[in-house]
Amino acid sequence: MKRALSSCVAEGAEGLRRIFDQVKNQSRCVYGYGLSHPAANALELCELFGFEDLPRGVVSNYAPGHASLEKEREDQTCSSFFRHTPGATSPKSIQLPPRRVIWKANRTKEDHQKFQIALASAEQQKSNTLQPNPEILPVAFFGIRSCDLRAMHTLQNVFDVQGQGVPKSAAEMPLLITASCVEPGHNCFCTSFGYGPECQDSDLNITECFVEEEVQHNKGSESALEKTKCEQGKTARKQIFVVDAHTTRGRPIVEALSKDQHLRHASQHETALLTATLKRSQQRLKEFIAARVPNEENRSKVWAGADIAKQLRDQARSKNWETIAESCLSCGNCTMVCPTCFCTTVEDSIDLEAQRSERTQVWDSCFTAGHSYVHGGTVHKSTPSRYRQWMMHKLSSWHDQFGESGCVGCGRCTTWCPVGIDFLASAYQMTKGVE
Amino acid sequence: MKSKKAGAQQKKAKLAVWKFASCDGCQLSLLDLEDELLLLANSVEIAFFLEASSRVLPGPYDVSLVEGSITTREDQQRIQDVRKQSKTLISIGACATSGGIQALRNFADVDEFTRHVYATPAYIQTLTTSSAISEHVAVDYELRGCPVNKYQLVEVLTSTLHGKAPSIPNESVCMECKRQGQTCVIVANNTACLGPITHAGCGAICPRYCRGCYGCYGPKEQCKPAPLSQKLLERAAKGSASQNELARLFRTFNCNSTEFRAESLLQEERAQKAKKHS
Ligand code: SF4
Ligand code: SF4
Ligand code: SF4
Repeated sequence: MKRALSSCVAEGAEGLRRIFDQVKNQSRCVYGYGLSHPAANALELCELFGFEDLPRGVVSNYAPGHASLEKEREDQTCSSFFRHTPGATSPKSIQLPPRRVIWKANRTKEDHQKFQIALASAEQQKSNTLQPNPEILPVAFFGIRSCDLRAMHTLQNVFDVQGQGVPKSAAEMPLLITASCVEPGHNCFCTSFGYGPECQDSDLNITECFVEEEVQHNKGSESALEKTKCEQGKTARKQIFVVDAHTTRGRPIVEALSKDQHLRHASQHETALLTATLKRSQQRLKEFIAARVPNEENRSKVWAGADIAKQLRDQARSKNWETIAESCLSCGNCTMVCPTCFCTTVEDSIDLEAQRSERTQVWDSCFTAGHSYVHGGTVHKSTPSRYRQWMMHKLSSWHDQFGESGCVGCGRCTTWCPVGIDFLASAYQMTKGVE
Repeated sequence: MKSKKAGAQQKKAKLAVWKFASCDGCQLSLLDLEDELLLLANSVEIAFFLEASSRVLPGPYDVSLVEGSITTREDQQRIQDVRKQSKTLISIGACATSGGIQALRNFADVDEFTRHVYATPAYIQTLTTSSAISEHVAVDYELRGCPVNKYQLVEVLTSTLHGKAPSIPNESVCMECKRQGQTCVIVANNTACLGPITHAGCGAICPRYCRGCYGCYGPKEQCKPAPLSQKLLERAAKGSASQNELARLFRTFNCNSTEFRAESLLQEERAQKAKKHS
């Protein structure tokens, strides 16, 4: 694994708070995974107004069609910050808002036959992309994951190819602070596409690690380090955050914090711990994927990511789509939660007196009848044909259209499918071509 | 009315609102329009709307909104008459589009109902079924919901008046739910929710309050209740719905719609079988 030579370490929750505050100070607003309200049953991408909004001690459990949250322990000392995986909503809701007025038209006073058309402001157009207004501070994402970043790029690539993109200047990009997935979810399969669980192309990546240490009973010392430990029988758990800056925007954050002694270089022991933590996570991902793709040879094909494009293309006319989509409800949840699904439709509305008119862009899904409606009717009439359209686009025709995979392996479609159809397992079933 | 250069002399469209077997809730949605009500009164001539005014203008009418289902011989006749007098006929609400909650009689013996409810059942003359308007006359547009969503009602009226296709998607409630960033109550709470197979329109009100969808807007296009029922039953132990509860869930305001009716009968049969066995 390639890694930045100089990992730094922040100790305990206090250390993380310094990083968060630093990021908060240099951004307009910070988005990250949190609980939208205290009794929420799932994590969502929301605005984090302060460090306290990070979902501390919350562990997510995902299975096909199931999501639940667990409190790590009553006592918050030493409880984790990043032992959850992404929530249902993704940065897509910021890149491509679910509803957005594109233009408004008013009849002119002078000539009733004429309209004055107002396009959505340039400001609003920009919010379609990753670039906020350069005059004000950028937005920041804190604690999002490797798959999120990949999905943001994938979606931006779609905008660019379709000519919706606004030319980028590096300074306008959001500040991207990622976290490694130390506890991957059951539905995750990012490594199938050759990346994750750590993020190497964000501005700054944080990996949460725990050091188990023998407790030394010297009651006298109450150092800051001591406070980051919490006792569990005879061993104490020490929480550290290994920080890797990858860009010219990430490095100044590290430098500023190092100057104030809030970050220090990682020791050899800590670097080893980091490697072990990530290795464990990778191993778990491998197990989770193996549970759904049992055949080693086929798995390697699914692992290859791009290879699956061809395999699925060969199955385009297969009868198996009927079997795969047997329990599919055509409800569209999978596409709504997918961080790269970009299909939209437009809703036109006029006022009762036909003086004003408005066009709104709304998230659509290939599971609706309207999506493939052309003159004469709907092309994808049946649910299996819609399911095929969805899977083939994500894993196969996206390569032809945009030169990469449309799936990033986040597993949201599997978690949030109300009948629990497993996307990865289904893709594997399809490539096998069994009757 | 604002002066219109082209169509200044154009006559206002005549609107009629009819009531059949119903609770009046959908007509109330019309009266509930508040901001738009005055505009509406400006744009159309309200020619027949007994719930709002006793002033009655004779037909024919340009647009008729029909609320309620057909449950009596008289209504069977009356709807024919309404159709004859209406250029465009729009049925509104679950009663008019599928038979409503009163279609529960379709699953039982009406005589038995009347015997239990009325002191002198002999006075009651009623059909054995409650049925949708479209089962009796040609309907130009069906607006779903129990009650209808007032914004959708305005949308349908505006579109009809100005010759535009109404923006009323026939997708699932889940689509509305997800666009609002709601957490799915099936996946996260094991709550029985009919959202995935129910026609959108309500704005996912129930999931917004952490409750499951009751299916007020009836089956959506490509409605397949079986896999959903199965998944909900699998979650029954965690608080979703039992077979009996499922049968009832499908048997509410849209119990007479093809898909919900079949599923409620199936679940009821299974529940009875299970009861016999135990
Ligand atoms: S297809 Fe599923 S796993 Fe792939 S990116 Fe979309 S939601 Fe995630
Ligand atoms: S795969 Fe699942 S979430 Fe997607 S449309 Fe089918 S039932 Fe809905
Ligand atoms: S809560 Fe109900 S309506 Fe919302 S996504 Fe889940 S199943 Fe669909």
